[in-house]
Amino acid sequence: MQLKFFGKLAEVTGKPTMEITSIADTDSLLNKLLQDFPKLKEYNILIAVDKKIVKQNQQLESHNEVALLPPFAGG
Amino acid sequence: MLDKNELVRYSRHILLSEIGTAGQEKLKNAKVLVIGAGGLGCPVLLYLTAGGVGEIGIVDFDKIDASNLQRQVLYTVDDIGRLKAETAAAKLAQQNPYVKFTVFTQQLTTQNALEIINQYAIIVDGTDNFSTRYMVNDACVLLNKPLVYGAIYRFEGQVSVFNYKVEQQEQGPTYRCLFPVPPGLESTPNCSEIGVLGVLPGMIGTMQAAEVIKMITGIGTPLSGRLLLLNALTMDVNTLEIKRTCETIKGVPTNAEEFRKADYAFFCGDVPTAIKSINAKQLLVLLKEKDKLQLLDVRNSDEEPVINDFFDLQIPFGDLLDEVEKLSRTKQVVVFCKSGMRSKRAIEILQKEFQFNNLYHLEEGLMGWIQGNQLT
Repeated sequence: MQLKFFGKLAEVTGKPTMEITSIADTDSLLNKLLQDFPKLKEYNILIAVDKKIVKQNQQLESHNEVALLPPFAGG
Repeated sequence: MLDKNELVRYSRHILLSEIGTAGQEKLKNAKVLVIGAGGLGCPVLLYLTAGGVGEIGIVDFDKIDASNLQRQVLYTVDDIGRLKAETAAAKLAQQNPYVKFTVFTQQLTTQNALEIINQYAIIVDGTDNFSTRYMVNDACVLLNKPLVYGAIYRFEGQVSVFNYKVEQQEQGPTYRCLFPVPPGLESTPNCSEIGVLGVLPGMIGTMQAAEVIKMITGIGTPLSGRLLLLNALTMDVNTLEIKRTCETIKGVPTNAEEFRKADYAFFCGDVPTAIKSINAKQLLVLLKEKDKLQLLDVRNSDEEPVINDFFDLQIPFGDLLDEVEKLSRTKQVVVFCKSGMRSKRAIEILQKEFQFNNLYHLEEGLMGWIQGNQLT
């Protein structure tokens, strides 16, 4: 499935998009990302699956598009 | 009623059947508060003024700096050192003499925010730090005002409309439904010194202005329940659906008195709030004025010792987040457990996630209390 990173998260991962396979749900995805990019722990991360923001763990399928974004403060 | 000159001035609005004279009169009767007259505030103010919003409040305590001129398009070299709010109002009044401006040059705080915000029907967030964003969001929730949100980071922007209620529909989500918890210190190195593409706040600010005009005239579909993300480098636009979540709105103070006492200034360069402690002897003194205290036991209900001296409120540590509304925000709340471990952790979480500033940790918990006061 495709992951899209926004703002500082893209700076931490080094790329705005990433392909990932066989991840069961959003919690496992987040755990894997935190393992691969420990610096992500510093951010409040909002997750959207197929353009819908999810607040609870959600099952993922290979066709899903997952967006991960941090809050912005600038004005 | 619009006069002859206004009918000419606003003719391109009036020619739109969706707006017409009736819509333009709604704009004339509208009262909008713009918080922050910087990168986002400048374009918002320019277009609300040109579009004929009748009364505009401008909140900004800051002065114009040379580094602002790359994006804050209301200001010129001669304005450096002047107050943004006053300078903006003077320029805008030249653009449209039909608009009434009120400037607020004091810093927005929990002491004045409710009073200022309450004078307006729609609030625009053009601030540059998380503290003020959470404070403005909470004030809008308390006062039931829609909040037009915009935020920028380097080449990317976010826009949404929070806490907006259209007749017959449920109230829209708030900023806390998106980000319930303010970010930690480490992720906000220094809010004012991050590079930003100068035109980006222009793009995001004009979208905010468009949302305000749509809401006033009642046309189109505002971004309530949706978060728009714009990347100026790729021109990718994503719109994500957001739901209002009651759970996260619990972080908002429940009344004006709590709001005035809430502490929003503990991140973004400010020192994080330390955990305040008291020992058993100090608690004994405090107990003499027990009506000013709330005692919170975070042990499980079956734990020993049973304490009758100051039983007040028991919420087991694991249930705290669900029952956080039982905690007073005005009294001194003494949090205790058996030895002081859980109470300390509870305070850390409550301060970080719910902005409590009235919590005290009982050192060494009930064991310390029993030893210190020879009581059982």
